[in-house]
Amino acid sequence: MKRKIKLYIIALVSLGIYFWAGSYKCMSIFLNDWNNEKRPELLKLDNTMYGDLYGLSYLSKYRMEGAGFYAVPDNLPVEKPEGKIYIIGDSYLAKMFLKDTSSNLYKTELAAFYWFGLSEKADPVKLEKGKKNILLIEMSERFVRSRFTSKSRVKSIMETFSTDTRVTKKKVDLLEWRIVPKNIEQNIATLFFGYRMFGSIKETKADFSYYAFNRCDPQVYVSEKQQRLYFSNTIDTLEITSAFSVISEKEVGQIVNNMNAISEHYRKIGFDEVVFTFIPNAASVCSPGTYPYNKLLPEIQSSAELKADFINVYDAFRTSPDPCNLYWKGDTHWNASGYLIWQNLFNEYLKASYNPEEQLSVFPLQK
Amino acid sequence: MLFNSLQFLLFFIAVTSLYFALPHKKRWLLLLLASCWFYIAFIPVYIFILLFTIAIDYIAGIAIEKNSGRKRKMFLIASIVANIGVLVFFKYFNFFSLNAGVLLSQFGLSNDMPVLKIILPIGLSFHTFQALSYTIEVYRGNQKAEKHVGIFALYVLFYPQLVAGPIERPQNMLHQFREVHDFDRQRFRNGILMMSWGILKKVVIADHLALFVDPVYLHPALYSSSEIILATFFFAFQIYFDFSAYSEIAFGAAYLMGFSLMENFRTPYFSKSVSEFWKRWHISLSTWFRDYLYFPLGGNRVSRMRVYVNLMIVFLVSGLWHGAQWGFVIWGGLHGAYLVFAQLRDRLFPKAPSLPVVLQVIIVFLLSWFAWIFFRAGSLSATKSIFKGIMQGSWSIPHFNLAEIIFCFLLIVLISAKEYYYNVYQLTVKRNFFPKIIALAVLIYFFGVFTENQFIYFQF
Repeated sequence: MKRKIKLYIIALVSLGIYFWAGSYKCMSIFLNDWNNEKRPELLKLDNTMYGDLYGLSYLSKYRMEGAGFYAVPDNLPVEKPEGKIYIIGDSYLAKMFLKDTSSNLYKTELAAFYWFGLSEKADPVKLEKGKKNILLIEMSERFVRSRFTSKSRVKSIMETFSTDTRVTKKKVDLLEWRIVPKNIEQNIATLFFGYRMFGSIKETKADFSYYAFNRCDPQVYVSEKQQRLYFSNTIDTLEITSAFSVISEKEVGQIVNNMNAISEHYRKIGFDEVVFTFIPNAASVCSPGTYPYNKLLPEIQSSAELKADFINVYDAFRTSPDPCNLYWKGDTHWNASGYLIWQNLFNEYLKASYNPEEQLSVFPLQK
Repeated sequence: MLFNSLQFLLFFIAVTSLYFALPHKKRWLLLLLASCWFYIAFIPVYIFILLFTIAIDYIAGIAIEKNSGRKRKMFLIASIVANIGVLVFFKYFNFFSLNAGVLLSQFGLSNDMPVLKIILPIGLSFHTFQALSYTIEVYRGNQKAEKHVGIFALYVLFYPQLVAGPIERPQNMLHQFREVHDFDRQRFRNGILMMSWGILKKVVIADHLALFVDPVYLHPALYSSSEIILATFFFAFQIYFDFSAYSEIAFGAAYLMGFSLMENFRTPYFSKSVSEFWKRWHISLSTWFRDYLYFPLGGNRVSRMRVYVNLMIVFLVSGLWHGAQWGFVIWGGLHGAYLVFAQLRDRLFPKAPSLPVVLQVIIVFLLSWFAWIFFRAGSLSATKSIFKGIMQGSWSIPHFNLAEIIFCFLLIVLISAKEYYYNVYQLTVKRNFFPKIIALAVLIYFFGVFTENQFIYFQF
């Protein structure tokens, strides 16, 4: 009898882990950054805390230690907000804005942040009259081609924020469990082995493979001088996400037209300003390979058809004294220096937007 | 759900624990539900295809047993048509349609043939053949029709061998589902050891070799002749270690619950002749073709010429069974031709001195190695690119790491030697079970390649 009870317990625990790993909601709680920070040191998840590319490759050389990984100093005096900003963005801004650095924006406070790719729909927004309502659409360069050349994806960007408050938020299942759960394998691996205490074992395996066989995780590309890691899909010339895959004029035209259409749509439903910003791939800025950059961002910027507001981060990055050092060596994201460049550009944009009579030479607005 | 996944580990622990916790009467239901879950984890909707063939064959089995004469035969034909029909529709429709289109265009006719946009159900050829063997055996009177629909469904769906065999016979399996299997510590340990060994072969060797093979066969033009030859050499071992690993994990998973599956591989690359190779490679399939195609065609009891024709038919069909591509057909045809040639040689030169054993083994390996080129390339155009690459005559290895090549060679030699001296299917562990399992786990972790690579035979 005792043995049977033991067997039932083992089965229940295994099934419990299986269903937990298959549930989007349960895993979100587990993976949540804030929950992670509260854990004992050895039980902290190490897949992103030392850099996301490090977390894929576990190459010890690229582990980035230290707290305040994304800390950005406040460099603006706090002013009374005159506007509200709604952001459709990804991890580049989420890591900054969701950690309460919105006070760094010129006369603007964060109203809502929708993270691209989340299955949950955003709540309808109620725009405040008398205040400037700004919509910022931000994404990493590697997603631009796929998101602005697909009708359904353009439509989903247009439907992200609705100003019609009668539209109710789409209910999501409590557990969001599917018959074939997404990412279940990675989730189970994280539940079992994703902790800092296993870090040295994972590094030993990764370092052995790399130094003995010159192999690392296929999602990661080690720069030729081994100074940094890149996301492989930003390097591989066969990928649409790559900085080095050929792009046609027609495709650039399609991207620009869809940007214009999105901008027009959001202005129609009440937003005062709609601005796009695409964060360059580290590979576009550092040009590590032998292939030439496909110039996706400069092409969009210089398109005569572009009517939407566009913040040109690429040029600012390329002309900075040390462009490669605007990104972490073991992470796809920019570091505080990279973010500050963007923030200054965006604040210039905001200033120009609040003070249209002033001629701001620093920021060339696309109108 | 792949055997080399953590998902399977949890599934396996849960199912095995429940299996031994539940009373015997309820075990079939547990295994049936678990098998459905195992299959659904790939593409849920395709479970209905399986349920369809199960329903047809269950009814056909009972009808065959109850009836006699023409009616009996009619039910057998109905079962064969239903099973083969499903297989042809999902696996061969596009192949026949495209080739018919090419043929018609040669005569200036419209080549606008319909093409289906469907994904091939995983393991379709395996469970179709297993289901077919049931109705054929009932027809032959070697097996009583199974009245319990759940047990019969379990025979087709039994998760360890559902997607890549071994292709079992009803005489071996059906009675096992009714037997009481108590927990046996020794059996359990042997099963775990067998599974661990299989996983080691899959992730440490087969998936490591795939790192060489896959990119070369994807873009052969980017690689030198020596790299293509090396990749093809590695493929011969990749497919062996991959498929035999699957069979061993399946065997182990079933064995520890008290079931015995048939042996599927017996160190085939140590064969001294091609016919011996086929007695040691994918045994469950080669015996299936022998029993249900070769013998009904007349086997050896017909004229010499007819035997040769029969051999060619069996191997061409065997090639086609693997996939709807000309590469598989040529692979099968080559093996058929090797066998015909061997029989002709024995007939024409019966007293010819035999070669040293080592040389015989090397020749058989080289023949199978050559045939693998067609098998791996799949299409005729891909095969052409591979041969073009080999013929270009460049002998450097700029894309491969020498240390890794040596590492892979060492692994191949060590594992092959171990399997040669110790039959994997008779692995027993009487002492030091835990140290052995921990050592295997450490080796699997440190030298394993974890890229969620499917087993090659899943696609068939």
